[in-house]
Amino acid sequence: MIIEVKDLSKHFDYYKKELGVKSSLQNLFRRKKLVKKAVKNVSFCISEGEIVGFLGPNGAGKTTTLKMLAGILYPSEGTATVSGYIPWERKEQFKKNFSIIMGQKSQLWWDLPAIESLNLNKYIYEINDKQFNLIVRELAELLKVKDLLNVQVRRLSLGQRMKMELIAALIHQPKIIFLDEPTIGLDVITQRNLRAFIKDYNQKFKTTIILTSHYMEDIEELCDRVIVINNGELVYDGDLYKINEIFNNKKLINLNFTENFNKNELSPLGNIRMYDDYNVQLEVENKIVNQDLLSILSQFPIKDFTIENIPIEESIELLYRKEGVIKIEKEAKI
Amino acid sequence: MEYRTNFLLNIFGGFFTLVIQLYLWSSIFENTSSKTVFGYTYSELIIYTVMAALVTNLVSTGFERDIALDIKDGGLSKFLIQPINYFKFRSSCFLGQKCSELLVTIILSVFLLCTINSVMDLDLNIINIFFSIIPILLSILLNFLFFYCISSLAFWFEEVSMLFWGVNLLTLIISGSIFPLDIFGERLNYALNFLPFKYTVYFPINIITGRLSPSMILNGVLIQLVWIVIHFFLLKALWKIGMNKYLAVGG
Repeated sequence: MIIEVKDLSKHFDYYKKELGVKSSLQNLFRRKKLVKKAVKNVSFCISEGEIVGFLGPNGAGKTTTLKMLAGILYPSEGTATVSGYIPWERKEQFKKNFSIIMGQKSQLWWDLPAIESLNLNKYIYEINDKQFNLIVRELAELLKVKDLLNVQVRRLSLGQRMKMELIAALIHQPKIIFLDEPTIGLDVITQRNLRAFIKDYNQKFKTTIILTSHYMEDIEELCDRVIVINNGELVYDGDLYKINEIFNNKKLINLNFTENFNKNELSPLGNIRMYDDYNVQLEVENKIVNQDLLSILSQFPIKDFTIENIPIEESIELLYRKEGVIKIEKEAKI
Repeated sequence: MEYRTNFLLNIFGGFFTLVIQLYLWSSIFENTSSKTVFGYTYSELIIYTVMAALVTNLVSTGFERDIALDIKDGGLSKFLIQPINYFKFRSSCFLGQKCSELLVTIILSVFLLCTINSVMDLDLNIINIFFSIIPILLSILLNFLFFYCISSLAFWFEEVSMLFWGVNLLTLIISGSIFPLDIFGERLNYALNFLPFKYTVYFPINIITGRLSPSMILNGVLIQLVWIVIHFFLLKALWKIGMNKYLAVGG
């Protein structure tokens, strides 16, 4: 277990302020102190080489948890070890073993060319010249930014800058990488390139990766396992596709008819989600999909059909909306 | 480049203040029959005023605002995740800045003192200037540590710009940058002996004016060292407690 988290919690104190001048004056004399429980008793373990997705609505506590694992914040309660170290002790050896990339915050020096920031990192992480040159050249070629290394960071586009951030984060070959919304704001092609790159890198170097993202494609493409956090609590920890099984074991049957049909005749077979003149989408219990399909095919003039899973987003949305906690047995790795 | 321009503008602005002060003291001396004012001869006062202006510029800081900004907007985070020591980073920046300022200050001091010396007879002893070098270096260190402690206030207060401005102004006055502390009378002077501020400007300048005996100089240097050690531990404590309150906003 390269990352172990037990009962991690973080509370923030803040003062309430209402709109208006009157309350500003009131606040001079007496303020109402409130506590925001950003992270509540979160526990999980991650093995080396896993890519785990952190999912959750905005404000759920994902980034706060990541910041604690990176040692940026001290927890209010609980413990965590990353690579054998306690993150908030901020030991030098610990820092040399991990990287964090925050999509909304740049770690490069704005007015200097990217290569200067990379060079600075070389000294900070104490990497020797030969290795540094090798890694930079390799990564820059892979990410197709070799010609941009000498351009001022402020002049780079968002996509180019993200690639530079990635290189800067990988120079010291960390064993653990935290990616906080790495593809935010990027175009489809760059997103795809980055995903492919991350996947490759993980397979080649067995780096452990925690990824937070609001783009389902990131999660579906990269993560075998997801941890869903809502309202500061861990509500799901397991296989991505098994999320569907928590709520219902249902599948979707899409039917394409050769002629007009009466949709009322279809209602007893399943829940009609969408329809138009020639098409219908039925939601059907997993167990009876086959028999339903057989009866449909025998009774109705079907031109084409497909069976698919309920989109992951829907299950996740349900998880987001739920207030309570669902304890899922940790799925055994196959 | 920014810092250098800032420094030069400071010098320029300081120059005007200096001229006003010199005129002020001159007129005070003209209107008094005694040879000394507040215990200072005319020559000593001129040397004091000129050198205080220059040394004040030399020991001044500005990084506390940069640090406060890092704390407030979360810029500190990127230093926390890398194996880099924020204190060492800030001190290196400071040192780099000061080295260039040192050169300019030395040149200006020589220029100003020679000019004034040609106009009126100054009791300037080169040996005194030599003795003041180490105390001035210690003053720079002491002031740096003091303002580094002050910068930690940004962990507790969201807005610190006015606070810093107030602290700056106060320290200017009670460290003797504007006029010798003897103006404040005996009691206040005695009280100031227990604070570090006297030893940043008033003490080294008075070495140059020649008012301090070698034993007093030694005494002063020792007190400077004690204050430096105290500030160092204070700094560590303040930052340790302050880090617990760090919000790491952004991202």
